[in-house]
Amino acid sequence: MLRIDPRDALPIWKQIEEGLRRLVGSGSLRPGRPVPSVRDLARELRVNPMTVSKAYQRLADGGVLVVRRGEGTFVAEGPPQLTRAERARTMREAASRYVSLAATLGVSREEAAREVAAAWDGPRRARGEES
Amino acid sequence: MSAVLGIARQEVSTRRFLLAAAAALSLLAWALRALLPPGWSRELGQSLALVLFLAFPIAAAIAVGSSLVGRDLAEGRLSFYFSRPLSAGALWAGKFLGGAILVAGAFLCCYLPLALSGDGIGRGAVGIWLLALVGLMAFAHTISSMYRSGSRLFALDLGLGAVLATVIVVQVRHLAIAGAGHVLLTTAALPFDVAVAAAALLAAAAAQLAYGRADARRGHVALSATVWTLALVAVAAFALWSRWVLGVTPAEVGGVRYPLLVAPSGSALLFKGAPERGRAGFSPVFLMDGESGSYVPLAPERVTFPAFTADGSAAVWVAPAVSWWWYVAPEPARPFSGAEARPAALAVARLGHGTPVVEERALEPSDMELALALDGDGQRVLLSGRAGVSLVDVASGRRLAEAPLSNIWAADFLPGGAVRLYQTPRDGSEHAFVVLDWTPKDGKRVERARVPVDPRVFLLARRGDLAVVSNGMRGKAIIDTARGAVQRLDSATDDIPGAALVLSTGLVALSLGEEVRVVTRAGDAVARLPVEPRTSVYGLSEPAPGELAVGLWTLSSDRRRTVFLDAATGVVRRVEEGLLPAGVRFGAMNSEPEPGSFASRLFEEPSGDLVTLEPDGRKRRIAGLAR
Amino acid sequence: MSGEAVLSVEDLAVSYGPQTVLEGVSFQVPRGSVFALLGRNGSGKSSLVRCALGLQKPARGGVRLFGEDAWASRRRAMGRVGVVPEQPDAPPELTAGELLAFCAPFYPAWNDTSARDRLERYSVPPRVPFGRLSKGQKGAVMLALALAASPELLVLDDPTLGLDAVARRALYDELIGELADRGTTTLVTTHDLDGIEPIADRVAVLRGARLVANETLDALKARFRRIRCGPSAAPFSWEPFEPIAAGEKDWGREAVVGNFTEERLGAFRARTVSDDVEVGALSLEEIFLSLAGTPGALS
Repeated sequence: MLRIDPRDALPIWKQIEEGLRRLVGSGSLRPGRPVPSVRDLARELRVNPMTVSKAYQRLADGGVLVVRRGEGTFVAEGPPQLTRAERARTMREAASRYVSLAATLGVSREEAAREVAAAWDGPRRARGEES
Repeated sequence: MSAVLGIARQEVSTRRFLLAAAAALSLLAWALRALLPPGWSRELGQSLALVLFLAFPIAAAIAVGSSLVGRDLAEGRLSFYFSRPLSAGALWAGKFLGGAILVAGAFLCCYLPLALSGDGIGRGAVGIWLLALVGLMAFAHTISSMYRSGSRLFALDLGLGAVLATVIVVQVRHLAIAGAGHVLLTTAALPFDVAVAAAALLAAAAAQLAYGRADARRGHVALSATVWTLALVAVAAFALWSRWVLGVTPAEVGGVRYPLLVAPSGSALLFKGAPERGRAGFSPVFLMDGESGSYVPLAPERVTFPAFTADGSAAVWVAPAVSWWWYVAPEPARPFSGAEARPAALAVARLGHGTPVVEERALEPSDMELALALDGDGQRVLLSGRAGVSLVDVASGRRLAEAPLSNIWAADFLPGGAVRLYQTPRDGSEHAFVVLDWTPKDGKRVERARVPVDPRVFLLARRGDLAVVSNGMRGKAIIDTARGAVQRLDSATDDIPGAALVLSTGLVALSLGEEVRVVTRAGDAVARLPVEPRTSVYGLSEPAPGELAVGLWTLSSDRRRTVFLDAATGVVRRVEEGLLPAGVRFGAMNSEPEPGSFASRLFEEPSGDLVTLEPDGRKRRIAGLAR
Repeated sequence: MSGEAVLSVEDLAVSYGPQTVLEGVSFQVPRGSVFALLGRNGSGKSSLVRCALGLQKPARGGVRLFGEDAWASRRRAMGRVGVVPEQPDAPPELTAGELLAFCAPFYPAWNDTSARDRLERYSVPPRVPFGRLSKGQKGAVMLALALAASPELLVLDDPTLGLDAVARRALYDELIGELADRGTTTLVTTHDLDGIEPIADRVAVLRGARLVANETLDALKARFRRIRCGPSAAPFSWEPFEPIAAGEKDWGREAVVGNFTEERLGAFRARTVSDDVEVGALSLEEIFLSLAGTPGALS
């Protein structure tokens, strides 16, 4: 399941965040299912609850998790419910960030597009294999 | 408040075994006393009760005091209290309240068997004991904290403690040597000091906790600083108070108490004031010059009856040594009471118009009790002791001669070196009043008169070769040593011892029950003054040549007056209400003052104030005695 | 972690006679954070904690607790602080139950039930005198006393000292639970670096009477790295890194650096001929050894 390595260079909250994203993306954590409470996960991982809280907050902001008051935290149903306009704006912002990065590194348009395709296929293939 | 009570409760419950032990032991003591028949078990119970009463509370106070904070200090547990929202004051109050409850509880448990069986010590004493035990508890805490802090400051504390103890001892000794040692016990001084000491130590403990908190060393610094500062203040206050006590003046004691001794010539007076008027109940013996009012205070227990020179320029008395550390005793000293064969020195006073000067010489003979007579130059003094009389050289204190003569009333130095002694010797069955002349140089003794008398005999007056004694309930006798004759006179009513005076004109005045009669040496009456019933003749004096002053005191109405009359004719010149002749009661011990001298004109008022009667009849107060 | 500083240490200096134990130490503990104060034995941690709690007056400087001077306002401040000392200091004659009863009246927000639950969880018999409890039980009681007061600040002075693995885990679980429930600000001094590493937000390291580090754990772990690279021809230099320790091995070179950034890595890669450069993370323990164990620590 979720493992954190204190020795890893990545901050713990980031490890939790990415770990959960992976679990959700791979289907191990199904949409609509509850995730452990901050308290429980903190105790299980033996980490500061604020750390867990921060990861959960980011995941909630990112639409991966959804907090229902009084009920708990759950994996979001399906992709995040954004409006068409919000979705377009989010993708446009991410795309322009990606293009700037590529330009800084002196990467060509073709190479950048190849990277996008490879990243797109990877997780899909993994999901396809598992399901 | 609940914090204080919580901490107090914790301290008490931690040590409840102490109270249980005290209760059990006291129950045992009471049971042994009350239930068992008299015999050794009851004695055992009584002894146990006493030991319990004395030892157990003291041990408890020390044990409790040293562990109240000391144990927490040693085991680093003070931080438990200081990391809670507890003020240092609450911690202090709770701990010492708990300690006080334990100590008081243990004491009361131990005192109960004594109180129930009637051997109680009184509420005041119980209060002082409790106060002292709380003080002891605080003292044990102080020592324990100082020791346990491990700081080198402890050595300094010990040193300062020794200094403090020394200073206190010196101060107490100073008081005791002056005869004022008893003020520590008779006034509230002792409980006050105990209370002050306890309060100071408790205050120091509060400073220790407030300033030091969980740090033992810092606490020690605060503790020591507070203790020694307060000690300095207390010692200074004590010194000032002692100085105040010892600085009592004759004017303050106003109302001289007997004995009052007056020099036959000049204006020297020796007296003790009323203790209730002195400072803190202390009144020394004052040796004073009546003219100028200057005086010197003397420790009462070191003064015995003095012998004056005829010209009043010097006085000598036997000054018993006093172990000053015995002298913090509950009774004020009884002056003039005789040396009772203690080691003594010879006190020599130079009298004049200024402040009297008193010196002491070592006295060679060791069993001297009283000074009897001083020769004209003040060089040789006759002292009486248990074994007899000794002639002693004043300057060196060495014995020059001695004779096994005792029961001496008075003595006079005669021209030519002999000494006339007035004695009621205790040899054989016969009671006699003897006048004998002793020559110290060769030891020869010549009896001038031997008069068989009643055992109740008093020497009343003497001058030259005449002496007057009171003999039994109603008898008087005039002894003429020149002719060896005795003239007996009796009063119709009891008159013991009465009063008598040998006037400078050779007449003799004496009280005879219902009258004062002036007679010739042959006993023939020349004047009479009737005295009402139930009025006593207080004393007789000769303020002017040929003038007789008769002091009369009607006890029932407390009416005091002096009648002045012409001795030769009996004509009453005047009556002074309220006055009585002063200094005459023990006048027989010293030579009769000359008429017109200071001593002969000294009178006392009902308040005890002394006045002299001037030739023009005005009264003059004694300087330094007037308030 | 944001918010005002619950505890603010300002230019603190402490000496015992000629020995200077703390000199010019300053840091702040933000509200809601877990602040780990690290240092070798004798580095002044305990003195600092005592000054922070108003138990000791520093030679210079001061500590502000909830905005007020710790020494002057100790009594008020202690109502909002829970302290677990290094050595259990409760009176040995009182039982755990009596200790709870004793402390309860001092605190307005005392939670007796939670304290008793805690004692039960740790199998602490409530009627045995404190002095006769085991070490672990004593620690549990001290923690229960501290937490029952619902403190805003929790001060733990080497809480796992002498505890076995089971007791240690129980203590961290308790702490995490408390953090989750109430977000209590916590100041911890400890030698158990592995245990505190996942929990600490900020870390400060004392060395030689001074503070040689005071930052978030993330930042600390970001800048302390182990760098390995393959053998290369001379001349070689670790620049722009400033290695704290460096060594040559058969397979190449290795260094521990305290100023790692991605830019510097880029620069280093550019300068080094070998492209076989590995960057590894360091544990808190290794970082601590670098800071406190070697001479010439970096700031």
